[in-house]
Amino acid sequence: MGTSKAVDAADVDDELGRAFAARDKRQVVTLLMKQHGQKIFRYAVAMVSDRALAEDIRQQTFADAHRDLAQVVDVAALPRWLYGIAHHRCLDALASRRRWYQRYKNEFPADDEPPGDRPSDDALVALDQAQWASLLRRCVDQLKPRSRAAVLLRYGQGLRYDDVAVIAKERGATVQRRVARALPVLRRCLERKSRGGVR
Amino acid sequence: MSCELYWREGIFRVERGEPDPHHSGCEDCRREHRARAAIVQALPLVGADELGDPSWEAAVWARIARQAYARPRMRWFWGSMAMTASLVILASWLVLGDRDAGRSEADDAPVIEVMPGPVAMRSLASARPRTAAVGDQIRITVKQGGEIRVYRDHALVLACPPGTTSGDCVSDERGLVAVAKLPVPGTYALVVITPDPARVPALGGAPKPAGGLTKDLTALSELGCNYQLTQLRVR
Repeated sequence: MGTSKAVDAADVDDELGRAFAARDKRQVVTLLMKQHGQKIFRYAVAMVSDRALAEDIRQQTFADAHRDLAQVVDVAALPRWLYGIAHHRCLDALASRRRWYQRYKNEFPADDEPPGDRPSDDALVALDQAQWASLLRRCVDQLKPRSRAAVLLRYGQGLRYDDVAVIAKERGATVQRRVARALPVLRRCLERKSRGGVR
Repeated sequence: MSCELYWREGIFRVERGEPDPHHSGCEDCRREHRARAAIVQALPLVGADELGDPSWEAAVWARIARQAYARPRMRWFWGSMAMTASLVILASWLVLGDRDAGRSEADDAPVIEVMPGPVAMRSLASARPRTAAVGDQIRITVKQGGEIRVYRDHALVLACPPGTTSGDCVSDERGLVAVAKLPVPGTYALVVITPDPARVPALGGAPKPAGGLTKDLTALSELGCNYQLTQLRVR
C-alpha cells in the first residue's frame, strides 16, 4: 500500500483556521493557493494531459473557491472541497474535449487499454524513475476519466479512499474497485510500451 | 506466466487493505505485487515535472476581479429582464384580461334580473338572483341567437326561441329579451341556451322543448347544446 493521508486536519494549519474563522476570503484563498496550488495543478495535468488546460483548471478552481467559500462550514473540509472543485472541472474539460473531437474530428481519444496478455517479466521493475513517469503518464491517459481520477487521487495525490469517495461523489467501494481494475490495465500498458522502448 | 489470481482477486483485497492468503505461498503473486507497488510508487511522479504559469496566483486574482465585475452586471441584466417580463405580463393582463372580462359580462353571459312587483321591497342588485317574491317579474337578456326557457316546478311556462317577438319575448339586433311573470310560488328553472350551430348542424339549433325540464335538459345534453341553468325560488 502506498502512503495515504487525510486531506483535512493534517493540512489545515492555524493560520488558515484563523482566516476562515474571520471569514477573510482573500486570506483563505491565498493560503489555499500556497498549500494546494501545485498539487491541484499536478492533478489537473495528469488528468487532462494538457499543461495550458491544466493551468486554466487550476485558476478556475481557486476562482470558484473564492466565489463559493461561504458554502463551506467546516475549515477541515476545505482541502477536500477544493479537490472536489478541481476534479469536476477536470471531468468537465475532458467531456468538452471529447465532444469537440466527436464534432470536428469525427473521432475521440482512446479510453481503456484493449485487453491483452498479462505481463510476464520483471523488466518493468528495472525501469528508472524518469522512464516510469514518462511511460505511466501515457498509460494513465488511456484510463477512462473516472478511473483515471480515482487512481490519481488515491496514489498520485496519496489521498485516503474515503476522501477520494467524497471528492468524486462516489461510494468508497466503487472507488476501490475502479482502482483495482485500473492497476492491471496500467500494468499491461506499461509492459507493452516498455517492450517498444521509452519514446 | 504471471499470477492470474493476483490481478483477478488479490488486487481487490490489497486495495481494501485485507490480507491476501494466496500471496505468501506464491512467488509469481509476490512478483506481481512488487510490480503493483512499483506502479503505485511511480504514480506521484505523473505530472510532477510540469511547471505551471509562474504568475498563476495573480491570474487567479484577476479572474476573481473579472467575475466580481461581471456578476453585478449579470444581476442587473437578469433583474431588468425580470422587470420587463413582469411589465409585459401586467400589461397583457390589463388589456386582454379586462377586455375578456367585459366581453363575457356584456356579450356572452345572459343577464337575469328580478323586477319587484308592487308589494315587493327588495334589492335588484344581484347579478344572479336566487330568490324572488310572488308577483315579481323576471327579465332575461341573451345575445342574438340565444334561446330562453322558463320552467316552474319542472313544467315549461315560457319558451322564447331565437329571433322570436311575441307575447313575453322581444327580439332585436342585439339579442333576445324574455319577461316572465312569477304569479305562484315554487322553484323556477331559467334555461338559457347559447347558440352553437357547429355542434348541432343537422338540426340548426336546439331541439324543441317537450315540456318537462329533465327531459328537455337531457335532450340538450345529448345533442351537445350549450346551456346555462339558473334556479330561482319564488316565495
